[in-house]
Amino acid sequence: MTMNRRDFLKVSALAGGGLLMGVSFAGCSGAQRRIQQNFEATGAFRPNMYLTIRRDDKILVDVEKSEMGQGIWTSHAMLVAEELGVDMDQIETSSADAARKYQTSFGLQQTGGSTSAAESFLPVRKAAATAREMLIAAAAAEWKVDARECSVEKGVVHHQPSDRTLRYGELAEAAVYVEIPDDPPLKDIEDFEVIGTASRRIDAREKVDGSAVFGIDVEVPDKVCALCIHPPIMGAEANSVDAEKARQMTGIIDVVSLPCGVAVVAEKYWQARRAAPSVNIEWSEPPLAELSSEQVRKVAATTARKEGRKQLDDGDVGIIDDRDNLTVVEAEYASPYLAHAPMEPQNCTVHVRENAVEVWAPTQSPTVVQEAIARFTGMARGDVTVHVTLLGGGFGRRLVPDFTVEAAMISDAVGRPVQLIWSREDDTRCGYYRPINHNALRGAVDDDGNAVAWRYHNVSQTILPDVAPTLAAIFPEWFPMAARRIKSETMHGLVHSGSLPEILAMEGAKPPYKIDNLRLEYTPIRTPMPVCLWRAVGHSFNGFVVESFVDELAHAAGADPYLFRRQMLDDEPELLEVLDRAAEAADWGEPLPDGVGRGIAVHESFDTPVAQVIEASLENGEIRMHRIVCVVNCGIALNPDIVRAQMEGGIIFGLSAALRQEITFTDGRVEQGNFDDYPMMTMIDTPPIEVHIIDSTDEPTGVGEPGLPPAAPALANAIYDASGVRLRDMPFEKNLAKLRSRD
Amino acid sequence: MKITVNGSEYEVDVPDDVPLLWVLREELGMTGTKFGCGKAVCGACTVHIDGKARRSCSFPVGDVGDRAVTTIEGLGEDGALHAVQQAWLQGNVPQCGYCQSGQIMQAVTLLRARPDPTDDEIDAAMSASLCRCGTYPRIRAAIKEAARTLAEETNVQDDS
Ligand code: FES
Ligand code: FES
Repeated sequence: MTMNRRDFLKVSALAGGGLLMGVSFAGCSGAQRRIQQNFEATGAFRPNMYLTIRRDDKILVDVEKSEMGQGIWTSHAMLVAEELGVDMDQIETSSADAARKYQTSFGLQQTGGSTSAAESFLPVRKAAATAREMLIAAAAAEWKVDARECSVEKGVVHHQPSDRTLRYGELAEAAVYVEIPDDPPLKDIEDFEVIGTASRRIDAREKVDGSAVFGIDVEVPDKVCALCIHPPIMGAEANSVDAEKARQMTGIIDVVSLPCGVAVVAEKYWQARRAAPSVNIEWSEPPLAELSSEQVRKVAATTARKEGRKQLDDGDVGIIDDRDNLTVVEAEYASPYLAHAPMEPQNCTVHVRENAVEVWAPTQSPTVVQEAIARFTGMARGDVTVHVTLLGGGFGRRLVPDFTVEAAMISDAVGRPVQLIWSREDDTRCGYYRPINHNALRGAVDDDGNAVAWRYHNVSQTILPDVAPTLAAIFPEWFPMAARRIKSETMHGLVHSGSLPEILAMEGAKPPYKIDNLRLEYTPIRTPMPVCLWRAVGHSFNGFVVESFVDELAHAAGADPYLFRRQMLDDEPELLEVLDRAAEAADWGEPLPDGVGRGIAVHESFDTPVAQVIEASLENGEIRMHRIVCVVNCGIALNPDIVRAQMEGGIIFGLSAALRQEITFTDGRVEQGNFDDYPMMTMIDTPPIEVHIIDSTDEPTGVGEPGLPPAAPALANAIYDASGVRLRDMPFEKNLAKLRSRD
Repeated sequence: MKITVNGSEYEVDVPDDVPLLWVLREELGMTGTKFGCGKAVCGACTVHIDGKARRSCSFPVGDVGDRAVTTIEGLGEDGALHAVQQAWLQGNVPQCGYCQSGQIMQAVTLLRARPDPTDDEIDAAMSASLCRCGTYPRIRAAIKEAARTLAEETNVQDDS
């Protein structure tokens, strides 16, 4: 049984009692009344949860997805501008607070899985079209004309026959009393004027003049600041704390023992940082102290060589050993634990009061934060208000609410609003990593150079159990808290028992190629090291494995790696198209300077096929890249320039991991702490990147993650082409050094 | 002690060894300068001290003395954006945006020293300013764009 994310979404929606949001804004008299009450309170027309039209003609768009760099503020504004007929500069965007009505993604209000554009395309346009129809109806009533004679343009309703106009702001009051239309017409994709243009990012100005407010910039009256001294080994508790000296230091308010560490609270954050080294703590020995990543790596490797739990078994992979005249290829790949390392360290501001909690969080999961803090305080979810700030990167780490609960604990202890800021070292060492993997492959090509068999056993640490508690937020509030918790835990129980497959570890594991004998196996491993979703999740390693191994088969068959893939993609026209376009744009087959090689890879993730060609060489044993070509088919590109930016970013993120990132731990201690020992790509490592977007009028698909998976294999394949060295272990720079020392 | 930031003098009451970053953010409320690593390895906290790019997270406020500090908030003149900020807007450079104050401050000093930088010079000046979102190709292009604008401005001034 293979299950993809969409199936999973159905399962989780079902679990939550069918929570997928309908896209009609009519149908309940309550909605009509709310619009009027809202007008009385604010003087603005708010036809639904996505937008507000003010009497001064400003359009305010509430974005329920977190803006973490992917450009969702801009694309929401574009969707609204399109259907409402206004200029982009008439629109202001802000982040919506956590609310059940926004729970669209896996039954959560969540920004992840490259879903932002796809999930908003219809509802946001519907929301704006609803407003448009109500404004038109209001104007027609005012003029006593037929609404069908009216149209909208640049923020006004226009009555053509009499050439009269009324601005939206002038209509705001009258529109409040118009009946909400049931099914307002949407523009045809062919008629789009805003969508599909490279409109400037709506958040760019505040991000170049320093005024953008990230979580770390939140100001709240009476706020105090905190850091948390986390144990050197995750899970350890403070047996004894000596904070005498620290308490005497300027500005220190309190030193508080928490289950997860010891918090130092001060008027200013710099005071907490100065005092922290004076706190002496004796830590307990947690279970993780028994464990080293090297052990996990070895166990994963040994396990991968055995048989795993079958996920798919087509034809008969037994022919690999049984049939004569086959060239058999065997290879093992490995990839390590990885941290997300967003540029803004985790932080959160929380004020726990007697009967209510207010939270300001750079989070990808507002309703998960709400649930988690409700659970900690014992309050109802509705008593926890979560404001979402701009996020200085997310990449999956900010789906986990751990740092927000920590902030709530500290606020609860000191009775004031607390801003908790993690150090970079906390951010690197406090867990929730991309899981470690070991992958064993066997394949065969026949005399005619066709791939005839493929067997893949993936061993990786399973993700769902560690993120299962967050699923409690799926369930409605009338479910008692304990029941929500048990339900969410049953889901991970199901995964662990094998009755629900681990979709995340196996996504992207099935090669898109026509190979008659195909078997996929998976074996989960569990360790106390917490893991979670990391940009592109399972695709981040499966893309590497599949696209490297198909390259190895091509070389075994003596075939050109591009043509070899091509001949097996008859049933995958979209993949074939991006592959062909990439080969053409990258001058595949044209001669290259001595020592430079080309590598190609194609992979579909989050419904978006992407192909890449990388030119690279080894210079004095160092990997150098010279050119990257990327072709993407993401349906209609809402904003082509943002799509290009997401591809560039995904590629560079993927290459940082491919080249040099790795989280290791010895006796439970994470060995990396900051950007010097967990290094990323820099400008000097980055070659020119060309991105081509396939013209399409299909509905938009994800772009935040799909640029990542093909990058590592395209690079490994290029290095092989250039030098004959096959890189199978990430990170490559370490892999190369090992290979060299063996020579 | 007294400290001059963006042309104004401020009196701050902090120990000498407090990093300038936190004085800017917490004592003066200028939050455009960001905290990324705290040990001079990422560039998010870059400001100018007497026109030179400095990592404020690792620069004790006591060492500033009477030198002039400029932050992202004080880069433009009379509310207008600096040519480098303008080029950043034009090129849709920011993604999450968190590193961009530092990138811009670093780029401004590069262009002062090298008004028409080569790719190698850009790489050398910018490679210690990290961007997790991967905006490097756009930063490179925006620096060249800003160089063109600044050259035109200089020409206009020379002509007049
Ligand atoms: S925060 Fe100063 S260089 Fe990173
Ligand atoms: S734009 Fe996000 S870190 Fe640079």
